[in-house]
Amino acid sequence: MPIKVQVLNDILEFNESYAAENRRIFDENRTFAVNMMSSPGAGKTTLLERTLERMDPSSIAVIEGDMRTTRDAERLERFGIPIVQINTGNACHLDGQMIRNAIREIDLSKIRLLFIENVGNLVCPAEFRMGEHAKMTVLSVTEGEDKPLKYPLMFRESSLCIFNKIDLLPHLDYSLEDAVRNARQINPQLEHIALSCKTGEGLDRWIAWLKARIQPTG
Amino acid sequence: MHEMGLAQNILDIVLRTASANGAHRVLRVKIRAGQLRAIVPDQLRFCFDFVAKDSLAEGAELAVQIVPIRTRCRGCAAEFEVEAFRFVCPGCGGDELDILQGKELLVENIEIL
Repeated sequence: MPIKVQVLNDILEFNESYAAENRRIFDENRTFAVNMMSSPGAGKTTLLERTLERMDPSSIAVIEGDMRTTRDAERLERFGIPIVQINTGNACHLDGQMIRNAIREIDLSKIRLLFIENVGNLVCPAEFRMGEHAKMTVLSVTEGEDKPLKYPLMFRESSLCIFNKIDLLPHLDYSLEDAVRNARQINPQLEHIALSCKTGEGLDRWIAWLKARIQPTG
Repeated sequence: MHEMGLAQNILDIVLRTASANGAHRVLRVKIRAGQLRAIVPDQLRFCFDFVAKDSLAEGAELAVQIVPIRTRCRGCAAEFEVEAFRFVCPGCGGDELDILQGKELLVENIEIL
């Protein structure tokens, strides 16, 4: 006679427990952790370069996620900040365990702002929590207005969407208004900032968004 | 996506539970997956069948229930199902919604002998 046994276990319990531990460590250290997601080439690393040029880097750290190479980490080396490069091999996203291992290499007591630059991918990163305080998506204006509708989970999970490369708008048939409307249909609470890492337009609003979330040192 | 990794996690949970209950065979595994988790049931079944070979769960039926996204409007307290990812209240047009259902990904129960 078969017996039915109630289980009610989260299938991603393993990842969730790492995410919870990471979050606890971030909170203990007053580190604001932001998970940066996007398609490959939307401009995450360049945005980090522009950010580090404009903020005091002494309390900022970066975890870089890529399947291969250390090129992104190398681009940020000149700022003298703690950087941990994770090469995932063929994993298409970062997860809680990878971040747990990475933060062992950073003295978070000195870090008020931790950027986790995820693997370039509009599908998978949204499915895996890592203990971050906020997820954000960088969307290049060259990607078309309909991406939020095609990749809803990404935009649902994000608190902020950056529309990057607005310097290219004169060369594109693109409606920023339509793109924002699509994003807000998926997530009405989603904040958005349109900017250009090339010209600097809009970057001050992004810096202000970060500063509003960082706890003071001391 | 990631159905193979999920299948392995499901197997771990199933075998742990089966062993804790003295089972010598698992007949059925019931999964509840919210629509927001974008699970493809056929793919999950395929991957589970593969990883479960040579275990107590070999041949077990994997029943996957996809539950719709259900929300409550903070403005007017209306509860409704979200269709096509339109997160807007059909009652008052409000967009501050609490998700009641649709994000879960669980092994709900197993049937054992």
